[in-house]
Amino acid sequence: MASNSPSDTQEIDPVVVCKNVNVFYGDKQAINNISLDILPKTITAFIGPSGCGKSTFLRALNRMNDTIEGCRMEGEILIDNTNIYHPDIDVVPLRARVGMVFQKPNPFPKSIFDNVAYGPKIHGLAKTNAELADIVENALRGSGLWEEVKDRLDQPGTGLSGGQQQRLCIARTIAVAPEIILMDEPCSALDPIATAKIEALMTDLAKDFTIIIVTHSMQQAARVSKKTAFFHLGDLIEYDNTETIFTNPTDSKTQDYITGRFG
Amino acid sequence: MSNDHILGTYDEELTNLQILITKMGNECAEMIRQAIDCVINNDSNAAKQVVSRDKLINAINAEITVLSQNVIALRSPMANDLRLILTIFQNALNLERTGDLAKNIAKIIVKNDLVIDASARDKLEKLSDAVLQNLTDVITAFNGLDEAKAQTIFDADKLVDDLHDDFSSSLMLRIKNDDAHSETVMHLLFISRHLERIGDHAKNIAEATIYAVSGEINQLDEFDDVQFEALLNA
Ligand SMILES: Nc1ncnc2c1ncn2[C@@H]1O[C@H](COP(=O)(O)OP(=O)(O)O)[C@@H](O)[C@H]1O
Ligand SMILES: [Mg+2]
Repeated sequence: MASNSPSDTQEIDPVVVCKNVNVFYGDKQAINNISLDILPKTITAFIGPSGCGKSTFLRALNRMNDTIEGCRMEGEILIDNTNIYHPDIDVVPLRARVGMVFQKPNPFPKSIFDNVAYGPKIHGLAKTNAELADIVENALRGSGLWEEVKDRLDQPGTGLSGGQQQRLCIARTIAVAPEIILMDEPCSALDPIATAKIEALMTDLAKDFTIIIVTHSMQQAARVSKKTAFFHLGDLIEYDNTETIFTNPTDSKTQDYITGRFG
Repeated sequence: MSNDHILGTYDEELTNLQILITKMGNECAEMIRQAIDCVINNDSNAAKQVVSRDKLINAINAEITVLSQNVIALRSPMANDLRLILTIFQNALNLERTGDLAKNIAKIIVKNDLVIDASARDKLEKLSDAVLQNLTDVITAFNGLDEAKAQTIFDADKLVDDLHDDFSSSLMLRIKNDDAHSETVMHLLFISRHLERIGDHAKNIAEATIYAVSGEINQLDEFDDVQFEALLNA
């Protein structure tokens, strides 16, 4: 079975430690006993054929699976040494700490400003309106959107282009100062230019945040991530430096998948 | 290895490249064989034909460059496929050099009349047989991605080096003794050296074969960090 911590980076303490994670939908097991460490301020990519459990595993990292009827989880996920499945854990602050960006950009039917301000407001991050405006501006700058929208903050977020909407969702996520950002195929609805902008943004964001991205594009994983985990039928097959995964993977299943031989 | 991609045309492209590099290798071996025959028979007409054969090898090399470029640009090869393309490209360069060396040997015969005695002929034949054996073995090893067979080339190349040393020291001795055919002796020294270089190219292809199969780069192990540092700063 795959090593859960890439060898050359063992001296860095992981920010997420997953221990023997199993996830079930009713009787059906979707994740089989996966242990895996995520390094801080690093982009980690999850790849693998559709249905292999990438999204399920990603959602386990901020307990989004809790919202799915019949979904059950076993094992431990520690973030900064705290088990996020401990009964005392409140999922609302957890999901601010571990934010999520989805495949389809999903701005609220509100103004650009309100889309970004919503999170900081409900988490009480701003004492004054001026502080709130600062947070919104910083988040929009952080997502590379500020210059494009600063003159129309009161207009609806849904009026932006697909790529801009996705960057608005990223601004919304970083506005609550998360530690970790989960992204589930964030570019699959975007054109190549908008995709390139998000990829460049991810690289910038990785200076401040830990990013985990699920992607069906191996080229995207190769372009942006430092670590890559390959999943197959609910198993973690291989987890290593991205360079190693794409040049000389250890497992023949990984090799068959990345070279286009899977069948 | 290249017969089960989801995309069939990708398989065909890889197979084509494998066929081309094998063909190029066989052409080079044949060219070297003919160049040595020209030396032994002192046949300048045949030598002219060998010289012109180099064009064919250059043409195959050009075709390999274009096909490798297209596969890299259009298929984004990964892992073992990527290593295969890189090594085919690299092997083509090594083979192209062996073609040049065979051409150089043939050119000597186009321009000069050599007088080769039985002893020189015997040493030349032993050396060229060993070199050709290595080259054909390594072409087979690469074609079959046969790592074990590729490993045998390294020891076999030591034999080539010994035969080259033996031949060239016998020639040096003749120079020392004021041999009457000093020009022949000098040209034979070049020929021996060219054959030894062809052996080195075969060794490079053996290393490439191992890399293609395993991803391991042999030569890196020959340096320790200090030596490597010294080399980089040289
Ligand atoms: N809400 C759900 N209810 C039941 N089964 C699900 C649900 N979501 C995913 N699954 C199943 O779990 C497995 C893993 O799915 P998923 O995590 O979406 O894979 P991926 O993201 O790698 O495509 C699949 O077999 C899928 O059918
Ligand atoms: Mg998914």
